[in-house]
Amino acid sequence: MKFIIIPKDIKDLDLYKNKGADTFIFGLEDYCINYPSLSLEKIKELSQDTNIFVAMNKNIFNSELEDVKDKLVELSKLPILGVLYYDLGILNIVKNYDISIDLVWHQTHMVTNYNTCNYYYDKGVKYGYLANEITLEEILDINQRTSMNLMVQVFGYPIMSHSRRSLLSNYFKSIDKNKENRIYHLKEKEEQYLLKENKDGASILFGKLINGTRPLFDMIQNNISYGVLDVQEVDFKIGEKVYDQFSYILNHISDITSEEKEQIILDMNQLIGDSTNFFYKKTVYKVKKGDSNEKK
Amino acid sequence: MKKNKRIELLSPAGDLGRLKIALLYGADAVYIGGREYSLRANATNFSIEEIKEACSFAHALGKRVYQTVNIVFHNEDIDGIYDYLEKAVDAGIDAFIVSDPFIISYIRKNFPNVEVHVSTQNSTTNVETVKFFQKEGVSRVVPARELSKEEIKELVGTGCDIEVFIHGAMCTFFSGRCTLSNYLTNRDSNRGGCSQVCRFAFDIDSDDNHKFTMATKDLNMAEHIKDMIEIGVASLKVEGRMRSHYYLATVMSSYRKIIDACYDGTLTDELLERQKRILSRVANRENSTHYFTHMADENDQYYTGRQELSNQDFLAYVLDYDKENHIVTISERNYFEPGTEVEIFMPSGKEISFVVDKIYNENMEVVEKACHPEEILKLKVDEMIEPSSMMRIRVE
Repeated sequence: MKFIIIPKDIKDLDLYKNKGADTFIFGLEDYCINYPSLSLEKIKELSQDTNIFVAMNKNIFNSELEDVKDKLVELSKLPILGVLYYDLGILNIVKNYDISIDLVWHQTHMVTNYNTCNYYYDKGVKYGYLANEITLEEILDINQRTSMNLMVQVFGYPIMSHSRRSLLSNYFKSIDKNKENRIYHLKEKEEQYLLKENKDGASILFGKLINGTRPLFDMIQNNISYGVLDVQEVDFKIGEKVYDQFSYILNHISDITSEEKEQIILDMNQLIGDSTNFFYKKTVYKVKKGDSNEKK
Repeated sequence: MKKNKRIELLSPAGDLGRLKIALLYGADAVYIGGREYSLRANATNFSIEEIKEACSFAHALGKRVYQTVNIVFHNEDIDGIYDYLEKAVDAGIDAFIVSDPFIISYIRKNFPNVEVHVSTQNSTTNVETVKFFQKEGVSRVVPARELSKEEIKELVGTGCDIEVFIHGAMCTFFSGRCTLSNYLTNRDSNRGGCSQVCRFAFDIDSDDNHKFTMATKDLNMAEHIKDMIEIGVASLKVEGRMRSHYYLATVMSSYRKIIDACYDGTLTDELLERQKRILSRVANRENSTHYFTHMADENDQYYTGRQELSNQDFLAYVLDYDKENHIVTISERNYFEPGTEVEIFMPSGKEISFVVDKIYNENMEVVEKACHPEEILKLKVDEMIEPSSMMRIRVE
């Protein structure tokens, strides 16, 4: 396994590089959602000495297609590791115009089974970034049944939803107040959520950090290709500790005793909370009692 | 391109009863969910036997049935799907509506006579994505609900059939890009468990006391049906597999009238305004055209919690009409009394209005008022009433 860092911005890059991190994801300006965004020029510059994947994970509209094609052609000339796409139009453009670039299937909440991984792999898509809403068991099963190189988020706030609507601006207009340029916190019962908005719409993130420490052990042992650490919304002091600890696990996996493992997990729970997201929790979708067709 | 084909009116149907009502009241086709693999996991939905009956009923009327198989699959869902598709094909399904692409190639290979439609769950927003699906053998795409008229027109230009939502509830977020339900209620929105968290009210860390809400108003495109026909949209889709019989009858009936009037050249402001009033009354939320006419903004949402009104317009369901004695037998739904101005609308599109005179019970004894839901009552009505008609408060 390798770790990929999604930094807050380019200023954080050297901090993580100094810790030993060598692979990063940045978003391409105007075409990314929930990634630190860089211009094509900056990506050109950065790619010369840094391993980067480039996220183009927004829904693409007709008026943007020509520019998207041009950007993909430009990106294909760079030594980047690949482009993360959400919109299948990007896959079609790459195929149609024979653009030589590695792709990462990144349909956020839809990368959930091995069959679809294989479907895209057969179309030449080399990587898949798995949904945050599946279990560890499912992740390992997918990994066994596909040749795709898989990415799994093991740290950071998971994105829950994205809208084309300017939800914050609309809200503040409705109460005749000015919106500040910051992340807002929503609260419902005891849970907190992060709401941010840019010109492409609004996104909501879950308010608890994914703590992938325990599943990380299984993922490393089962050869998951990439663990993704999204440190965009955390202080460097936290981010570096998480990176250090995860690197320690990766480098000493065969030497770590079960006691030490539990101690590491305990320490990490204290540092970043104990939310394991859906790694050990299955979602349900039929709620009627006594429904004979209910999935077991 | 199939520009000359008459536009299709496509209705949801949560069960067999709703399916029959939708087709009788003017739908050209219905979309249904089976008991598995459908994004409305908590609707009654259809067993394979019921799908067979649904297809027989629809096909006898020269109409079509599409089945949603549009969940985002997890590993555990895969094994049973192939047998399930085969059973649905044997039952007579005309098309599958899918979102997970691995199924597309399987259906094309194994059931070449069955169409594949791509669900709005895929949030298709551009012509390149439509072309991608066309190459996979898809004959129709239901694009994202976030598109303008011009953007939809460009999708139509690909030659692929484009199906557009025209009426009903809207998602706040891009379909497929929302898992609020997973995180807040542990229900998987992409496998049919959506608990409509976007209609919750939240506290927000700003210095005022307002609750933050993000719920959208409903969609109502009655005014733009002519535009849809002109730009070559193939199918007009109504949302709501869990909606009532009355809602479906009303919505289908209204859109049927508007569509037919567009083709006949008889669409008048008066007709349109009346149908818009009828459609507004059957809904329990305000409505908007959302992205079709403008970038959805603050006027297309709610901000002070849910503003939903209960609707008691639906007065009775017609069970029978005695031609000899001019007596209509009804099953009561909401309160009415002598003097109430009502109208009966029928599957053929015919409507009659009158003032209720005497109300009789099953034994033809006069009763003072109709106030017991499902009570069997009788009224004297001179004009012939079709079976499956419905009685509502008169819409002025």
